[in-house]
Amino acid sequence: MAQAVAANEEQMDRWAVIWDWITTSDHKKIGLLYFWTSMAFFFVGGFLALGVRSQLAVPNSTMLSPEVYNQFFTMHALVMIFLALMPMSAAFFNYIIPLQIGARDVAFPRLNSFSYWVYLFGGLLLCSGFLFGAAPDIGWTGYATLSSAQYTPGQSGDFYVMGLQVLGISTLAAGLNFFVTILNMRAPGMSLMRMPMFVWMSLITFVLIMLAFPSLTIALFALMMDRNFDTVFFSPTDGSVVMWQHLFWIFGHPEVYILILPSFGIISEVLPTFSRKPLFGYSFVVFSGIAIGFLGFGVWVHHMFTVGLGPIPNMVFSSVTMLIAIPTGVKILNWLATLWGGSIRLTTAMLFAVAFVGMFTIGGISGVMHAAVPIDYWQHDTYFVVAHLHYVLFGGTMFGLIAGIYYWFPKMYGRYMSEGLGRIHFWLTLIGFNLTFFPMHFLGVDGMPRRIYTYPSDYGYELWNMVATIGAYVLGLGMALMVFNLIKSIRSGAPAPADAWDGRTIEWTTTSPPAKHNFDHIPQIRARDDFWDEKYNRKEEKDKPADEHIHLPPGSYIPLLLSFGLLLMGAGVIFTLWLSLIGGIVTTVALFAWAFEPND
Amino acid sequence: MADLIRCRRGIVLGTLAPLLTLVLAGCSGITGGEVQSANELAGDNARSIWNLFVPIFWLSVVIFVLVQGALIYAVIKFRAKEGDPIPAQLHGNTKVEVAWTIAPAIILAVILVPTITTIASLAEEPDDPYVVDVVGHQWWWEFEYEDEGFKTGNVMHIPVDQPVEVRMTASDVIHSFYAPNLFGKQDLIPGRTTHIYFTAEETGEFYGQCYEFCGVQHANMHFRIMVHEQDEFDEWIASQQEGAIEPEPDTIEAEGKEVFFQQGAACHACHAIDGAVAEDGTEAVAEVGPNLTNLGDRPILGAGSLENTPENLRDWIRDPHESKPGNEMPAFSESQISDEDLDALVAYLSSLR
Repeated sequence: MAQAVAANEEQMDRWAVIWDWITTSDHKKIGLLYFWTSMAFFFVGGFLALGVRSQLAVPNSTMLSPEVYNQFFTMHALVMIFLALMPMSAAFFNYIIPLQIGARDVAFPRLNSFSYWVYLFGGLLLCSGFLFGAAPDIGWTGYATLSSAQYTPGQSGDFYVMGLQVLGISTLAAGLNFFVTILNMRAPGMSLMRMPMFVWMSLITFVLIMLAFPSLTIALFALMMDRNFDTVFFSPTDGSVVMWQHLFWIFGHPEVYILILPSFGIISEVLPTFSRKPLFGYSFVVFSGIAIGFLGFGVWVHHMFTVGLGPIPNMVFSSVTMLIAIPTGVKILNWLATLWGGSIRLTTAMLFAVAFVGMFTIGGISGVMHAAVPIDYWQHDTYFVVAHLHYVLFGGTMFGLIAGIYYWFPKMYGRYMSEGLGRIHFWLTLIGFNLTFFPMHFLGVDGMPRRIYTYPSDYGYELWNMVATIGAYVLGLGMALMVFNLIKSIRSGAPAPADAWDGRTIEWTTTSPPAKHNFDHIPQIRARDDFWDEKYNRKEEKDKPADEHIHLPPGSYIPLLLSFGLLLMGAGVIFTLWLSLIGGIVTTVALFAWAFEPND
Repeated sequence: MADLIRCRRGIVLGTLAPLLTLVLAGCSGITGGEVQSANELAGDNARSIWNLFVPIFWLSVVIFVLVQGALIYAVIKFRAKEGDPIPAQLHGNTKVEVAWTIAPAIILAVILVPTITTIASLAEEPDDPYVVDVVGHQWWWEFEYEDEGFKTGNVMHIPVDQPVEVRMTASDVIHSFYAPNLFGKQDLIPGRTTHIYFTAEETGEFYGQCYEFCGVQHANMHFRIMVHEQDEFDEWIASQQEGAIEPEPDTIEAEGKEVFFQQGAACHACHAIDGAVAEDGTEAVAEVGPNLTNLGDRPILGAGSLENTPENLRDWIRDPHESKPGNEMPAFSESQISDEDLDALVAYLSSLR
């Protein structure tokens, strides 16, 4: 009897825990939800990548049918960009930004929870195409007229449109939320130019999100109308085929900076910490970031040099694209100068941050090559571009995110990740990554087109494709080791103190992991790198009494309900419009419930 | 943190390996020189692209070596040692910052000048070019010689040392036309016309394919460009204008021609053969699939899915989805074309040159 009661209680507890996670509005919990969800999707995307590489290992391969291969490479890109890299950045936005600016939570906690659930449901909607044998297969760029109902009949195109549309809502809500959070909720004394660099780069990211995503929303809406309601936005006779490309890349190019800027921020934290020096040229790094964000809106046509817009547009966009290399170069040199004269500790986080600088530089250099339009007439849509974009998005974004994982894990879990495993993980990743993607430059020279499911045997493509495939498996092994390290370290990692790395910024002043309210008293910021300043320069008393009134947002299930309504609305366009009607009702009810929910 | 494993040698190796391969790639045979390579030059257009690339490549190598070298040097040289004091907290240096903002600006300006002039020269229409119209279809190429009054498929013929204008559009989705040895790529867009201007500098057979993802069989949308001496080219034009070779009566080829029009095969429902007329007066003029007037002359079948041999042609007609799954041509079972008839049909089609 007593046993049964105990078991029952335990079960109750478990439900309470689950309910707590579902309704949470704590930015740290939402950050962890983002982290583990994006990690799961990262492995989905990785599995698809291994499918692609396995198919291309040998010529005339029949392992995957062309239909399935096209779904694989399309979904690999969509999953990695929208479901793995961006949300993994969001995990750090959530967990770290409030801690770095000395806030108790974000500006709109329920909206934050809403962003996560819409992301999860949108991701599941996008991926569920596989269950119906109709995953998107038109490339992540979804070019008209291939994406029209005529040339892509059936549901695969609708999964593309509605999956991305739902995900876009999540991103926009998060972008707005964190933009307001950073501007309004900084601790007293933290002027903009005292903000940690991760916060700065994130702030620029949110501006880009708010300005770029609406263009995607409009493009997807028009495509939805074309596909389902016979409009002619992208029709060659009555509309414009090229219009899609403009709308898509006005979003798509800033998207590249949305993906890379958070990693710029992360390594701008990691490099100074493990060099025991401040970031070199703080204000130049800030303003070069702003310049990148600004110029990022003026280069979209460099994805369209072969469309035939004419020599003048190509010259203009070529010039602006090269211009953007200047602030990027400035950043790289500032990172180098940060290392220079430092006292460098090569932790795993630092190894990834240093490797980021090296690998991203390669991606930057090849980027300048195809900024030169005539060279793009060759490299466009060849494997040279595949190499370039992976040096930017994996060697750049992902290396930065991994550095962030090793760097902030002690803050999140109160334990260090294993440095031994981390080191093996690093070398497997660096070697596997270069083995996979460097040979793709060679394949580009030999004219191998991207997005082909097979190639003939007499084109000289065999060797480097085989090398790339072997590299991909090495890389996969490295990533699997990272997850093993994560799980092992959560259970049995060495305990980490509040200040795990002799840090410079204020997230290291609070406990690891932080209490629910983050800080016992809201910190007073006196300097850039305030915590370092406090430790080494200021001699005043550090212990202050805890704040008496601590306001924390209550949990709420309404964001989940609202997200679910949006999921139904999206799914309705794919399956049957009745579902959209039900979704619309759920959404409307949830919106009202949201507005009238008592706020304690 | 003093117990961290030393990994200097690893860093040097890990970063030098790609560096070395890059330099080697520039110097020797790790890449390039294949049938579809961008550095195997036979056209003025492709040559100006490669000539722009080479100096940018070497400049890139220099920058690469400097940045990676500085990175590796810094990590080794400034590695923390036991008892190191806290390093000087250097926040920056405006002069240095200004210098390294201006330096890349100068480098890029140097790159930009030849870029702009090359864009302009590639876009310039030559005097009196020889015009070939190209239409991209899912998943094959139609080449029309409008002034000469005929069409052909998947293999384009042009004269050497003669400026050519390729005038392009697409019938369904976007495609992209690119033969790396000869010229840089341009997209073919439904409802628009795009152009490539180039002059082939050598005779021979050149490889190309579609470079813009265009659906299930994007991978098998190859083409060839045959570059001829002018007199040889004129002969080819003349023979195309004459139409298809008419088989001698009572040969297997003549039988094959009947099969072509026969119910069951009904090849003429989709394909044209210029000048071929059935006994009942039916003409082969359909334009759903490639024009077959000179099929026997082409090195490839199914836009490069197969080499053009009688055996492959036989397999192709029986089941085009074996080598090109998802393509539009239907399969023909034995009940539609008997083995004997198929032999005759293959003999006929292979004789068309």
